[in-house]
Amino acid sequence: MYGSLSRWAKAPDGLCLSRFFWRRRALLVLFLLLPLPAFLLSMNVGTYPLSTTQLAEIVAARLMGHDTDLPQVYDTVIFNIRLPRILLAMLVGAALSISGATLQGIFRNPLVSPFILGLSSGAAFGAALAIAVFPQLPLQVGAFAFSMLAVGSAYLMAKRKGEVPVISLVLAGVVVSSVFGALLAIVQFAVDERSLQSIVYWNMGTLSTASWSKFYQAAPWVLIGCVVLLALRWRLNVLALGEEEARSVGMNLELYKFLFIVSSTLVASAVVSVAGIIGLVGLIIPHMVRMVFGPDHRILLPLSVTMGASFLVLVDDVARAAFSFEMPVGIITTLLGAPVFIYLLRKTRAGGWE
Amino acid sequence: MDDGNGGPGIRDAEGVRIEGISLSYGCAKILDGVSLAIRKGSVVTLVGPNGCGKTTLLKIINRLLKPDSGRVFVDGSDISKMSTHRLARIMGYVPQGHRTSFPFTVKEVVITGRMPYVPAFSTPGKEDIKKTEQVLSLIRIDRLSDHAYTQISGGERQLVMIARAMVQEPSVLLLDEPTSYLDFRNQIQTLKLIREISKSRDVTVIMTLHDPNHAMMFSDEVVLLRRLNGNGAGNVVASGSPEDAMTPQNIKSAYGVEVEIVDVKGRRLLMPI
Repeated sequence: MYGSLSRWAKAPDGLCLSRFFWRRRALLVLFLLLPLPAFLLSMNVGTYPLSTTQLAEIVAARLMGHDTDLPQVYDTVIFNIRLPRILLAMLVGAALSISGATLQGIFRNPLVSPFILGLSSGAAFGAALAIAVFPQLPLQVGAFAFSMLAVGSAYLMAKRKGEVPVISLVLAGVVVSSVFGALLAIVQFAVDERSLQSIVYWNMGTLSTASWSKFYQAAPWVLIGCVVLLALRWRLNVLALGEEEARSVGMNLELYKFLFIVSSTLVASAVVSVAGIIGLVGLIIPHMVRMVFGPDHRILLPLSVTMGASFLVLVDDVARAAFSFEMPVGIITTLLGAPVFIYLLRKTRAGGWE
Repeated sequence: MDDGNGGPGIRDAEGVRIEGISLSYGCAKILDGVSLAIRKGSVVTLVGPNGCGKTTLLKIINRLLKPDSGRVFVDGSDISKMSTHRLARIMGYVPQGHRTSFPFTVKEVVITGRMPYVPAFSTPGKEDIKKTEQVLSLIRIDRLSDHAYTQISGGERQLVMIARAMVQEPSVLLLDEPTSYLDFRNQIQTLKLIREISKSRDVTVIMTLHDPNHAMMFSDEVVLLRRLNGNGAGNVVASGSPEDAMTPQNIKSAYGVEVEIVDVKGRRLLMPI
């Protein structure tokens, strides 16, 4: 209260003061509550014809524990198809956004994505292995393990004398990405056409295979990572001002860098392993929030969660209902994200960046 | 803060003691057995040519660099045995020419100096905000509180970083070239401010400066350093009051430049010949 109030207290004229203050406040609340309307809207969207009243009737019946005259299939559509998919979309969007926001802070670069340390390449290779070489290995486990392995090896490669310089991390990430890219190419080259198709499709990033089991597999990791990141979020401000600057105010730099990298990797790996590689969400959502509310991670991280969740669930609505076929959501996020990104980049506070 | 007795040199309590500091980068020796004793509450300037190790020495004092040998004591305690939080509560560091890619507000930048007082799973509280606002007015940049750090001038950024170090409530303030990138007016204002802070809050200031005349005008003591040249002479050419340390002979042996001392209305100025 104190902090945000004084933010505008020295505005040139009194009229400006209250208007700016309330506009900022209203926007903040709106962004924080956005997942709610996004959720309700998404429940109404789908290829199966179902009216809002029918929807309400079935949900009410389920909540009250009584029966309805509506067919059983309606219940299945709502609780086993739409609900897990919507929740998974929100989970993925939130996870990718908070992961991106965190890594942008660590790297002090607003153009960093959650995949900078080789996470997506590792996941893609792990998934390909599971699809084509070791069918007994569950796909999600393969993708999760190899994405963690990729980031872990980038981290260890960059580590020298107990320190992990950011620039070494970036370069190690590039190398790790290329290596796993090459390994993926070997698998793709060697396998039959059907497997190849699955691998390529997985790489596009889709939520069409959403299920409760996928949601439950990813959710605990995302939850743990988010709790750590949100609790430590102010420390990201300290870190984002520079490493020497952070150390001189008493920050145990390597410990915090490690914690941030582990947590952000955990959340991103968990969702990539169930949804594939969904691009640009982790890059544009934190960027958009930062353009409206500034770079303070105390606000940026919580808003990235709610904005990311809302954004991806709405985009997924488009993916599953706008066309006569299912469009992989990763394609839409990229095509939709790019112009929004460019528009915001040119219109708003982006001029403050060097 | 309540100890503004003004005149330098009144009290003799030791603020910082440096004992036998040596450091090599690879095979090049930068510092060789440097020892200094710095009085509490005094303003001490390290001067010397590029590569004489003054910035290195400053970073060693703040434990940003680990010396090969030697120890640093602040108020009698060995800094190598302190926790990072404790060290950050007694020592503030202002780096040279700081930049950031995110448009944090001035207030958001300054409050990061409260880091050693904010528990790990927490964010700055009312007390931290209050102290931040006090320091912003002390440094007279409260009007900039809500400006983006990336959009203020270099001189203002320097003041912001000084404010950030001051909210750490340090007893020792280290500044690396606080006047570089500043215009003439800002150089003088910044140096005056540093002196004022030192005197009004009894903070020991150790800074590096390029201009020997600035060092003479704004320091209680000057430490004149030279590059090691392998003939056994140490880094410290002279240390002591500006008049004693900055003689033409000493300047010559530090910089290899001939200067003469000009007396202007009772003030001594170094002029290259």
